[in-house]
This record gives sequence, C-alpha cells and structure tokens, in this order.
Amino acid sequence: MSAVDSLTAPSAARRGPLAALRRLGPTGSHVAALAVVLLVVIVVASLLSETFLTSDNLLNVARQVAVLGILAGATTLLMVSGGIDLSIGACASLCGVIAAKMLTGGDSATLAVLAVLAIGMGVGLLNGIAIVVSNAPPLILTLGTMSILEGFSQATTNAETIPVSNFGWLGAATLAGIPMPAFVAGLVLVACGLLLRFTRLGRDALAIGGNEHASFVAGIGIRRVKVALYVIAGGLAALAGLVLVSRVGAASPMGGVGLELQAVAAVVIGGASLAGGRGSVAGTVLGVVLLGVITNVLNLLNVQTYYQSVATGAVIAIAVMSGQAGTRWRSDRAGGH
Amino acid sequence: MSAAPSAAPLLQALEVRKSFGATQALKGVDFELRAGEVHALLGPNGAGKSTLVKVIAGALRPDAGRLLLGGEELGRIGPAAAHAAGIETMLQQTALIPDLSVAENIALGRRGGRGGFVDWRAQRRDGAAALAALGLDLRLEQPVGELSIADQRAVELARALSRRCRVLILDEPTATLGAREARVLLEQVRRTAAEGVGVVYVSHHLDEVLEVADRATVVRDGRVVEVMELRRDGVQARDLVRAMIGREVEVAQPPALAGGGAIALEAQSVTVGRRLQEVSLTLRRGEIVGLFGAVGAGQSTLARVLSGQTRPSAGSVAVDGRPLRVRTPRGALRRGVALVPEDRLRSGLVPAFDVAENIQLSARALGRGVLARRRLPEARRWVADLGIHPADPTVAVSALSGGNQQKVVFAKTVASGGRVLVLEEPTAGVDVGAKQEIRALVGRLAGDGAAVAIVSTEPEEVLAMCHRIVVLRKGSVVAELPREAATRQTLTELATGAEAER
Repeated sequence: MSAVDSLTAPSAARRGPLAALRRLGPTGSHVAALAVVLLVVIVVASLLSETFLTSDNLLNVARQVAVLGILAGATTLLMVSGGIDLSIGACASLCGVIAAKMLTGGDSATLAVLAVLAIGMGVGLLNGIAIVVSNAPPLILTLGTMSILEGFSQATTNAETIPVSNFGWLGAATLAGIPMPAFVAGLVLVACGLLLRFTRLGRDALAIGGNEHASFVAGIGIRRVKVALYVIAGGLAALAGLVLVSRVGAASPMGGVGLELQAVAAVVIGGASLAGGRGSVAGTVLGVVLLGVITNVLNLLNVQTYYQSVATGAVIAIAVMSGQAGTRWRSDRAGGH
Repeated sequence: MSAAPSAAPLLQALEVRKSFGATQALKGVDFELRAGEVHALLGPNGAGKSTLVKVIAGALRPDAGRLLLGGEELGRIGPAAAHAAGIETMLQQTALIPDLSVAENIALGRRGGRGGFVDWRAQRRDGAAALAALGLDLRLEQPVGELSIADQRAVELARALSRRCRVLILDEPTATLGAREARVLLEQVRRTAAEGVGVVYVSHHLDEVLEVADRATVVRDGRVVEVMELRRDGVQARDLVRAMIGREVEVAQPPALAGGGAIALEAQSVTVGRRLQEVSLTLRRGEIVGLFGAVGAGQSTLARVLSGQTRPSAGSVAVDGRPLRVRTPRGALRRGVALVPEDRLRSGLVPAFDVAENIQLSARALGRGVLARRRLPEARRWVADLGIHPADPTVAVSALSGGNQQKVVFAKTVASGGRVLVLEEPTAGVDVGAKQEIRALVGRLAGDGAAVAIVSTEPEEVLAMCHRIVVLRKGSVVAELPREAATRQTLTELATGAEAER
C-alpha cells in the first residue's frame, strides 16, 4: 500500500527533520509516531519473552489479527467519510453461521462463499440506504442493525456452535509460508489503501468526511458514495466471517461479537478521527498490529485474560489522548496570518 | 461624538515578530492603541493582520517583541489571562448563548453572588447600566436568541463594557449585518470607545473604517507601512487603498456588454414559501446581473433555487430553454449552473485537502471513471491565473488566507465548466487587490459568454461589476435598473423601502 495516505501531497520546498514531519501532514506524522511506538513495544516484547521473535509466533500473530484487519479496513473507509458501522462484527458472525449451514448441508464452498458475500453486501446496502434516507446517526442506526443480526445468528443456530470440516483453505492453510488469513487481510488492506488514495470513491469519501456540506455543494453524489461505502463494509464483514469460520473450523453465532469495537479502536489508534476527514490505512495497519502484538505478548507471559483486557483498554485510551494532544500541538503551530 | 482620545498609549506592541514554519507573518511590528480611540487595522489578506490581532488579544505568543498594557508587560497568554487583563475579542459570529436572557449573557463568565448562588439583582443592575451606556432599549429578561443579529452584536458590546474591558478587538463586526444595522452598530462602537475603551477595528469595509475610526495602522507583508490620523488629516478611501496595496487602483468598471446574447437562464414566478414571491429573472450570455437586497430580502433564497439547493414551491426555472428540475447542486452543475457559495468555510472548501484537490473537486464529481486523477499542471494554471498565494497547489487550503481561499472556491466553480455562474458575495472578506483580480476574472468569464448572477447585500459589489441590477425587498423584486441608472443611494433606498416611506 502507499506509504502514507495523508490528505495533502508533500510540497518539496522545505527541509530538515521537523519540516519532514510537518510535510507528512497531520495523518502522516501520526503514523510515523505510531510506528515508533510499535517498534518500542516489539523490542520490549522480545526482551520479555524469548518466543516472541520466532517466525512461528509472528506468523501466529499475523493469523490472529487477520480478521480484525479486514474489519478495520472496512471501518477505515467508513470513518474517513464520517460514517461508522457497528454491525460488521454481528454481520461477520451471521455470515459465518450461514456459510457453515450451507457447507454442512452439502452446498459447494464456492456457492457458500458467493452467497455469503452477497448477504453481507445486502446488509451493507440496507444500512447505507437507511442512513442516507433517514439521515439517522450511523452510530445508533448500526447499533440497531447489530442487535438484529445477532438475533438472526442465534435463531439460525439455536445459539449453538456449528463445526465445519473441509473449509480450511481460507483460514488454516498457508500460501508460500504465509498464513492464508494474513494474506487475505493484506490484500484487503492494500485495496482499501489504494481506494482511498487513488479512486474517486475514496477521495469523495475523504471530502465528505472533511466537509460534507461543501462536498454536497461541489456536486459530489453524497448519498451514493455513502451507500457504496456501507456495501463495501458489509462485503468485507462477510469475508471476515468466512475467514473466521475457516480458521477456527467452526461457526459460532457470537464469533464476531465485539470485533467491531476493536476495529474502531484500531482505526482510531491509527490516527483517524471519528468526525471524519482524517485517517489512513497505513495507520490502521499499525493499530491492528499493535493491538495484536500486545495481546500476543500478554498471552506468552501467561497474563490472565482479565488483565489483558485492562492492558488493551489502557493502550486504546492512551493512544487516543496522545493523538488529541498532537492535534492541539499542531494547530497551535499552524495559526493564521 | 466621543471624548477626546488621550494621548498616552493604553496598549503597545513593540517590534513584534512571529513566524509559522518558514513563513514570517510579522517581521517586527509596532502598534499603539490609546484609551478612548477606535483604531482600524488594515491590510490585504495575508498581510499579517490576523496574526497581529491574535498577539494583541493574547491568543498567540510572539517569537520576539514586547506587549505592554497600561505600561505593564503582558506575560501570560490565553483567553483567561486576556480576560483578567481586560482584553475582549468580538468575532465575526456572535458568541452568545441563545437560550439565556440578555442579563445573563451580559453577566456570563463573571463570578458574582455568594455561595454558588446567582445574585440576580446585581446582574440586572449591571446589565441595565451596560445597556444604558450604549443607549440600548432591550428587555433584560428576553432570551438573546429572539433578538435580531444586530441587537445580539450590541449585547456583546454591552457585555464587554460590563466586564470593565480596556481593550476591545472587533474583527469584521458588521459581516453578518445589513447596511442600516451596520450603521447602528458603528454608533455603538463609538459609544463604547467614549467610555474609555481602546477599540481595535479590523474590517475590509473602508467606508465603515472612515466613519468609525480615529486612526488606522496599515499592515502589508508583515510590516507596518503607515499609521494614519484619519480625522485630523481628512484621509479618504483612496488614500487607504493606496496604503494597503502600495499603488493606485482605479475603480472597477463592468466590462462592455457584447449585447444580444442568447437567454441562458429564465426564472418565472419562482416562489419559495414566504421567503420568495413570484420572482422572475432573465440572464443572457455575456451578461452580469446583480441580485441586490438587504439581508433576508430573498436574493440568497433565489441563489439556492438556481443552484439546486432548494426546490421552489411554485414557478419554474429554465436553462438554455429546457426546464431545470433538480434537487441537488449536482443536478444543477450537470446543467451548467455553478455556485460560489457565500460561506466559503462551510460550503466552499474541504479544509484538509490541498489547493489542487479543492480546485478539482467539482470537475471530478461531474466526471467519469474510477480513478481520481490529479491534474497538477491544470491546478498550477489556476493558481497562476488567479494569483493564489502561495503559488503552490500542493499546500493545504486551510493554510491560505481568506482572500486566497475565496480564489480557490472561484477556481473550483469555474473549473466545473459551468456556463451560468451564481456568485454569492464573491468578494466579501477579501482584500482590495484580490477584489480587483476576482472582478477581472468575472469580467473575462462574461466576455467569454458566461451568464453571471451576483448575489449581494453590498451596493458597491453590484455597482462595480453588473450590467443590470435587480433589487429585492421582502421576497419580491421591487426594481430592475441598468447600472448607469443605479447609485449607492438609489439602491439602498430601494432595498430598504426608504423611498416608499418618504
């Protein structure tokens, strides 16, 4: 993916390290700072645990963060446009459950995958249309969708987990030594990065997030852009659900619960603003990896899951606070004329 | 009118320097404000005016130089420190709480009463005193939100007075007011100064400055170029303009009308609720038509209809002979009707994007294909054509001064390929030099066959550019006159109904 999806292209005129940082723009300098933090965490982790820096463990981390990575890619696209979709975790569970039902019922894997992707995009379409037609705040509306989808998952399975065999190629297999889920997530994130940087849809998403009314007056088809983004998010949620089922070898109706919030956390850690207009896929990748590495290290150190939750929460809070402080620092220096 | 301003300086800025990155906004500026005077701060966009105002207001710390208030060094910066020192700033938009009463708003942010209780009686007494000082006849218990914008501004002045303010900074205070309300406000500003307050007055309206100010400091390119005694020396508008841009400027003339252009846009009996009643309008190619009226007279509503933001409840609009039935600006743009909106920050720009992407926003929105192509050479041409400063299309548009941002909005609108241009207050808040450049561009566009409608509450704006002026009052067209027949006087009379009442 492009190194940094900062909103403004660099101007070549200025020099020096500080100028270089400023040249990266607010998003770029945030990503640079985050990369440093991640590096420090990795160094500390490798000092604390001998197993951390082994290829087996690192590939394991990659496999584990893949589902989150896919959902975080979707969330990045929505968040830069000022939108959000809290139903993607529940959508992933539902899609996983439906795929499992189809596979155990004798349908082919191809059919199951295509059907589930269509369902995910359909859910996204409904979310998108509901939001642009009613002008309802997406946070609340998709909270409703989330509950609906969770209900459907539970009803479909009677709240039981469905074991799935013969569907390991998407989750358990490797390609050229790389775990398939990581491969898929990488592709998705690169695609999201390219979308944001080089396509009209991506640029329009950033424009809408940056100033919705000005985008409207400028003639951008705001509604269709928003709907398209929710459709993409729904499709990616379905993909995440498939990878999850394939990796675990079973579909749980609660499999994706809470992943949407982790995705939001990763994207915000990556420098995106909930208000839209700011954010990058590069930052999101670092956010996802940071969360994954921390969970992994705490696992290796046999820290109880309760305390893992505390640690992850603290990371999110600190990341958001420092991001805000950085913004203030920059706006102090920018000033007017 | 006012007590004679005392000669001893109330506030002094000495050799103030301030840089932002590589840009030197202030290159050693001296500024002096006396108690009881209205002191105008003038200069083109990007001259360093806003930076100097922020330094004086205690919102920015200068890199070098000193700031003295009543002979004492101002150490700390920030809103709290400024309040404590008696420095108040009034921004372009009102900063009042609409649901609170006049008295409560005047008392806002000040501690009074005992044990956490409000001393209502003291609040009313102070409020009444402040209103009386300004000669204002307002009910103290009325919620501020029910007042006119002009009265709200006056309440802000009263608040500053009741806070024992010593230095009052006004940044384009009449920006949201009509001509008559502006005159009333200017009178109140004079009364405020008469109470011994030093008033710093920032405005692009030179006629206002000449009316209200005692002295003027002219800033250009980060330096003070002149301090003028306006009253004593009988300074005129042209002298101010010369000082601001460093050369003589001739008064703009609309370009010669080619004559007989085809009808580009025709509106018939357009009605929008009670805001616009049966307004008809014809725009020809090559023609620049002014839609003039006081704030709320209907000309903005008409602009919203033409640009697809509002659908008329009755009547029709046709472009090139075909009916225009659109519900979005996108639809209007597709038919070649493009808008320069009034509020450029809210409606014109995506602040996080660079200049090039802002310029190409509309054209891209109307284009086809999946990829968003960056056409840098094209953006460079716009930047050069309009004299956008800095001359680099890859800087963030939020880093530009107001006038240059306005040029970017212009470039975006014109680059969309529109042949019918609706321009709302196209040169508002823009300095004299940029004004000339924008007006010249509008003239060129009309010369090339565009039909232009200029929507404004400023007589000067329509007089400087238009071939024909349509005057609206209370949602209806009250007059239509060729430019030759229009003067500032006639326009204002028609728009306010002064003539009818006489």
